[in-house]
Amino acid sequence: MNGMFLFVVLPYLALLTLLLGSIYRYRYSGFQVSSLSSQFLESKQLYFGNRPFHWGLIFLFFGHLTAFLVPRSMLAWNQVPIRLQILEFTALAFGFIVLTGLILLIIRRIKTKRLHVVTTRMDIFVYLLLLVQVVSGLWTAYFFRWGSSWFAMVLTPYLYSILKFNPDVAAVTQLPFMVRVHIVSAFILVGMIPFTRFMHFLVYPFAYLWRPYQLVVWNYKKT
Amino acid sequence: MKHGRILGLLVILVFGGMKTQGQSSGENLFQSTCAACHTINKGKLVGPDLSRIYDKRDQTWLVDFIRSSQKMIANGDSLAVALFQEYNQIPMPDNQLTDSDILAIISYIRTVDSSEPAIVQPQETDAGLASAVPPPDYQQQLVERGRRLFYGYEAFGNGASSCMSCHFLQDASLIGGGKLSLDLTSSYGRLGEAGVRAILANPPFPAMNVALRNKNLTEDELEAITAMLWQINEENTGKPKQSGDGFIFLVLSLILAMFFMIHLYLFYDHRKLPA
Repeated sequence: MNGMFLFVVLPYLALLTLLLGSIYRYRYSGFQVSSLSSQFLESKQLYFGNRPFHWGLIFLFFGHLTAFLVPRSMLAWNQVPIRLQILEFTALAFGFIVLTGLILLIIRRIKTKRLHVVTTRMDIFVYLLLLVQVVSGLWTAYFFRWGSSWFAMVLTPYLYSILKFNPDVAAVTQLPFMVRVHIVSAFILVGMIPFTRFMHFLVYPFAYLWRPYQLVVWNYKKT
Repeated sequence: MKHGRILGLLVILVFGGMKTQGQSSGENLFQSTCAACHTINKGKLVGPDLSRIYDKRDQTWLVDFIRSSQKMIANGDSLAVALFQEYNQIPMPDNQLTDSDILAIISYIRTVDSSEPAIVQPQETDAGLASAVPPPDYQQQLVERGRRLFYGYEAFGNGASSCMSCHFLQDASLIGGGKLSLDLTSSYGRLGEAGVRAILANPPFPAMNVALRNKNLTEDELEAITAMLWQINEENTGKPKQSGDGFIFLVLSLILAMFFMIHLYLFYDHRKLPA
């Protein structure tokens, strides 16, 4: 893999695309800035795929973010081996949860015929990209373990060097192949946010937290 | 079209304004990249003495080898493979040096050679560098401190993280060190005291170099880690390699994942809407 393109040009392209693409999408298709829900078409399988997938991702996303924003705190936590192991076991467990959720969602998408009508090419791309991301992440966590520590030591300085417009790719280009796949697919994911259903990252409905309650009445059949 | 032009302009602005890693002099590059494992006219360290290397090897070969010896070994270059075998199969790390950086290093070696008289080095034995060093006699207390530093029970003075973040040792730990980098169990046997200390003091491996930047190990920490590596090498010489207890890591994580998943099922609203 060409280190200069993948670890210098690609991250800048991803950030630029995220910025300009999001502005473009807000301006020209403001009412579509979200993901198209398919809950009305199929809800049970959605629940069992969607819940583990999103809960797992939220944990893993904030885990990665912590190692990026406060690497010293992460390393201080990991200084004691048992704490490192608790964190890594939990992170790997959430990785498996995400993979299970993703596989269930892919099966649902393929087997439920009525969903084919609302599935775009970009949705298929999103599934494939997520599959690469999750599998390479699990591979990294297991075969190159204690990533929570070495991310903070090796990848955080690289990401900071990108943000400071002084990229230092010496270390990142030497990392194992699957780790590089995980990093590159993350950049592609960031860059594709404005053009895919990933867009709903940016419009999380925080207002739900303080808006007045709405009473919803369902006529359930007792089971 | 208009948007395309604006985007193009922005890309040019971003990349045009970017500062890449600065050019350094041959001496600085030699010290930061090569000196951990090589000397000029001072004998073998981890790798060969580089004195008069420009006379011994073709320049194109030298540039290719310095940039990526591992690629040349993989491609079956006979000389590269022979060197790899001769130096205990310790791979020289690939690097991001440009042609001009490499030529600057060669030029620096030439300068050092011209300023110092050549010393004929005694021939090393086939068994490599480690055997040439007399066996050290480290105190058990020092070995124990090295183990504590390795696993993080004792913090490094200058803020470096514990070695177990990336490295693994074949010892009695239930779930041991990390697997990003090399298993260090036999590192002392392969590198010898000088090699271990050289790599710890000035890591030639890019990821380790970044991890230890501005966090140099103190002299007594270097000694403790070296002592611990000597001990672990002594204990494991001739023993079969262990897999690294990844199985426990995998099984415990899967159990934890199942535990979470069961809760998702319990929370599902099993009532049905009327038909």
